[in-house]
Amino acid sequence: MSAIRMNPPEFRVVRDEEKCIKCLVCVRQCGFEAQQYDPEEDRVYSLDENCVACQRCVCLCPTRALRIERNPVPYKLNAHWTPEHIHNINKQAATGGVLLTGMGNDKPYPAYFDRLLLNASQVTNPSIDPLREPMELRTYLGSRPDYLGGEKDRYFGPTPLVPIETPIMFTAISYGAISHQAFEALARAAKAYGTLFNTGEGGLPEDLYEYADHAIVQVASGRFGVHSEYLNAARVIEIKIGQGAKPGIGGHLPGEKITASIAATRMIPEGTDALSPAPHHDIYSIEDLRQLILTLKEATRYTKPVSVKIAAVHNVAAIASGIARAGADIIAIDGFRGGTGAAPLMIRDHVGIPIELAIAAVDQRLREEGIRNRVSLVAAGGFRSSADVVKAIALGADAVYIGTAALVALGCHLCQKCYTGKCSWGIATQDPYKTRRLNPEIGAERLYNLLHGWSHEIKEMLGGMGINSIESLRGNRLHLRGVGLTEAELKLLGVKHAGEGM
Amino acid sequence: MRYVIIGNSVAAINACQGIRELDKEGPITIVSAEKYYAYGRPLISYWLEGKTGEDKMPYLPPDFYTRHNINVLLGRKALRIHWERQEVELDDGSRLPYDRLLIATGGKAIVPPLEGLQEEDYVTFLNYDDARRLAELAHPGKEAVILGAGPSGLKAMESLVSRGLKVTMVELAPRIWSPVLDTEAATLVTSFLREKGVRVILEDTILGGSRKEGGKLKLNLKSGKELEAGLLVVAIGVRPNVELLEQAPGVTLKRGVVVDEYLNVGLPGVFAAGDVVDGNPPLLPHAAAQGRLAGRNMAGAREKYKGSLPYNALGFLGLHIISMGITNCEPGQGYEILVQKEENERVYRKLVLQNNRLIGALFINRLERAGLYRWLIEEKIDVLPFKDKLLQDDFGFLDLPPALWEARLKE
Amino acid sequence: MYARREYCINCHLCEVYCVAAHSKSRDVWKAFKREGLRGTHRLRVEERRPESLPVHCRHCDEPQCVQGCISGAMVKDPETGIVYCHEDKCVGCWTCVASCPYGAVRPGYRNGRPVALKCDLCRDLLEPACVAHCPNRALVYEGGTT
Ligand SMILES: Cc1cc2nc3c(=O)[nH]c(=O)nc-3n(C[C@H](O)[C@H](O)[C@H](O)COP(=O)(O)OP(=O)(O)OC[C@H]3O[C@@H](n4cnc5c(N)ncnc54)[C@H](O)[C@@H]3O)c2cc1C
Ligand code: SF4
Ligand code: SF4
Ligand code: SF4
Ligand code: SF4
Repeated sequence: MSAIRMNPPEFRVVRDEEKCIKCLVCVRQCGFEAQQYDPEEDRVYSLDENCVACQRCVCLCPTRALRIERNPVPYKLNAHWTPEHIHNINKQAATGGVLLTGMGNDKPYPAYFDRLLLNASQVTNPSIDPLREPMELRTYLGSRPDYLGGEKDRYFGPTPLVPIETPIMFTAISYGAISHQAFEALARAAKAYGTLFNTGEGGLPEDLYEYADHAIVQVASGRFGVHSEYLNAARVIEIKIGQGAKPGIGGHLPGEKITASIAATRMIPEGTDALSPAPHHDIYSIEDLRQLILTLKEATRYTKPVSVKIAAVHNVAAIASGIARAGADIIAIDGFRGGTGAAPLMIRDHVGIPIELAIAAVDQRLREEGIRNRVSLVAAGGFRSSADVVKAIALGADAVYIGTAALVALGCHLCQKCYTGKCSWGIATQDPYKTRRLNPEIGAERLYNLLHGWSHEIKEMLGGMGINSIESLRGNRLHLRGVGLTEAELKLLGVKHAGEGM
Repeated sequence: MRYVIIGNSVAAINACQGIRELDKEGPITIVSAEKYYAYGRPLISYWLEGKTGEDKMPYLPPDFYTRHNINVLLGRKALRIHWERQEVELDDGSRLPYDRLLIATGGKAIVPPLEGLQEEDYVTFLNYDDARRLAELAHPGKEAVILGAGPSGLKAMESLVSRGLKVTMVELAPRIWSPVLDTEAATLVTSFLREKGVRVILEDTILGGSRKEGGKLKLNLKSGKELEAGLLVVAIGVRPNVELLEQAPGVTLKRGVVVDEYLNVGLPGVFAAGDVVDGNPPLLPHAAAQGRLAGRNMAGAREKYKGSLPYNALGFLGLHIISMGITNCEPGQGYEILVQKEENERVYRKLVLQNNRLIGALFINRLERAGLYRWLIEEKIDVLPFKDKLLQDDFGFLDLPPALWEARLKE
Repeated sequence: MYARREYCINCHLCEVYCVAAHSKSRDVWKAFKREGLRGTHRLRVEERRPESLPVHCRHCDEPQCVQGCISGAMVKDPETGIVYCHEDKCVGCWTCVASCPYGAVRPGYRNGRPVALKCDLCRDLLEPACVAHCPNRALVYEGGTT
């Protein structure tokens, strides 16, 4: 039984027939069967309704014959009933299901990073040229004593600080959500640059243990792939409580994606769904959390700092305080722009708060409570450039996680179809025809380049501010000014408005 | 070390290359009955129909002989060999002493008794001079009869058809190119030929004839039929050119000269290679391979000739055939036959298997990757795991177990 | 030259650029649209999804294609070791097609003539075109001829 296709195609594939040489590269590369070839007619054509604008074909077409256009929908203009709402309703009317999506919140909520400006020195406090003078981007993650010799006061042992050569780490993206090749690229680049990658909740594939000393290994509600070797091989252990893209809900990796290797890594049977419950079934209080933190430390003889990752939600500052007091060494906060492989659309787009406000609030609260030294603060969720990183650090973060930016470096064009498992770029897929598209060697190089470029820019911004070490910027909100922000926003961010002096 | 080579064709020049791989100095003398530098013998049909020019005939770059310090005596025939003195006597009376001798005299055309006809009444199709003679005789519209529908007869047919002659082929066997083509393949090819206007007469032969007034030939067939022809080409095969070896002490002559695994004829320092060798298929790749090995062994190597199955590529009037190994056999007797046909395209592909090993293949009009099958044959690879894939159009390495090829492709 | 088949993405761009490298214009578009060279690639990508594999000439030490060539068109350059076909000399008999144990010679047509299409390692270029344009570094060229 076929039904009327209520939704017109979102995109239109425009092929310049004059340029097209019928090489069929696009046909072979489109992950969504939008490009077709009819050998009888010797005709290359497109099924527009399948196109998701992933740009794979556009990027590989040797004659640049392709362009993807937004298909204008000539609905009567309606500021309230936008085409998006209409299309979503149609989808649900047809399927009765929850709307799914991938990547981060794409709605036009304010991006505070774009309303914050950095300072630069002039005359009296001269700027520093990072090419001539030392500039320190290394930072240390972990818990610092309350005062010299203060470790003894805590009744569990101290864990070592972990240095990273740049305040940028790769965020948790699990093997399973992404391909082995993408995962490996992240691991290789982290190791090469002297920073950390995060395994996410899917464990660490056995063949990548050589990168374990640069791994943050996650322990999530599904406990996938957690075993003592995993914990002990890692540099940092992270308890995942929440994720910015889908605060309050669990995860679901469908059985089709559970290949033999993913199953082995996750320690679940091949082909079964991997379900992460929304809560940890053994954590209902800060005390429960403390117990897990201590358990993990005990299991690793206090050689690994433990991080706790939460989504940025309304009460984030109080939660962070509890986490710090529970004995965490690092708190990772994931803002509402954070990416995901799959999330219900309504959750992704309507739950959580911006990371900028969360950092400011948490940093402020921990300072006020005199426990800021006990934890490092890692911010995540939608970092697009080195300027975002610098602003986050000035707001109070120790370091940041990048996820989407890293995937973009690997080829992601943000088509948001990760949840389909069809990713044309070989990133969010386990289809062996596509995973091979990402050569980890090239991926690692591109990620390394990205880290290198951003780090260099950070040095220049620091130098401009007259600062020669990233740690001196942390929480230094005097270097920030707001533009176009309300009184309340400025207060929450703890910054003055542009134009106000020191 | 003085090398003398009799013959100046594929086997001979490959022998020169083989010698020079090991011995850069020793003088080489080639005795060539033909007055041309070595040319690709099969090219004569292409030359005759104008598909390749005079300048493209030489097999080797012009400086080959000088660069390798080879003295070629063009248009000189070796008359006899004085075995005990190790000398070759030439048709101008001179003598060439040798330390190493290669007999690369190839074959000569077989001509059956043709009652009533003289040598000038027919043309064989073996060398450049034959082709030149034909070029003078083959005028558009003329009626040509070709005796023998094997590869050279078919190539002669192509040239003559392209030159605008009306061609009739007379073949004794019940089908054309009978050692290679099975009934079905032969029927396919024959119908193609007939469509191109070629008359094909099977199970018949020419017994004799006479020249009529006006120069036309009247040919008498075994069946009692008569044919009129302006031109008669005899192309029923070649016989090894072993005259020089008759009476040679210690040398065995069968159809050709018998050689040991080092290609030695049984006399110290005397080797043979190419069509002259007994049991060697009269095909160019085999002559080349033997020539090179003989050359190396003349220069001191001791390598064994492994031999390879006959294989051949033959094309005419736009139809292409590749055959290798045993192709003409019926199922049963332990043979398994796989066939693919596409009548419209005149595609016929046939594989012959025995005990899950490929032993022969015949391809008509779809030849891609034919060599891969030859490799399967030569290496006696067990094809059971991918038998069903063998005739797929894009059959390739990915259909084989990686263990068979992965390392080879990485070399 | 060898292929890392785990990275071959079946795009066939190597074939596209091989064609262009052997065109008069050396331009992809012109090669296909003006010079009519579609299908004249020398290497060939085999395809059995999810696997794909570019198969190249190996430039053998004892090249059977050369040994089998009836016209002397197929040669091995004694200096570089590159095995290539003098296309103006080739008559399209396809003995080389039957000879090459890798199936690396393709029967083809160029400029209205049948010619053997065979990798010449892009001997007039600095780097083989297929390697230079492989988007995933599946083709590796380390100099030399194998
Ligand atoms: C028309 C035609 C088409 C062919 N097509 C193909 C084909 O498509 N594919 C294929 O694989 N094979 C083909 N062949 C067969 C191939 O040409 C032979 O296998 C090959 O040429 C054999 O080489 P050879 O060096 O052994 O002998 P030949 O090529 O026969 O050369 C022998 C030479 O020795 C010379 N000679 C003989 N006796 C003396 C003497 N006493 N003194 C001096 N010189 C002497 C002869 O004049 C001749 O030049 C074809 C042959 C012909 C005639
Ligand atoms: S889905 Fe991607 S590859 Fe396919 S047509 Fe659209 S943009 Fe091109
Ligand atoms: S990749 Fe470009 S040139 Fe090739 S078939 Fe597609 S549109 Fe045409
Ligand atoms: S075409 Fe084949 S036989 Fe010739 S050199 Fe290349 S791989 Fe070897
Ligand atoms: S090296 Fe050059 S000729 Fe050989 S396959 Fe690659 S592009 Fe073609």
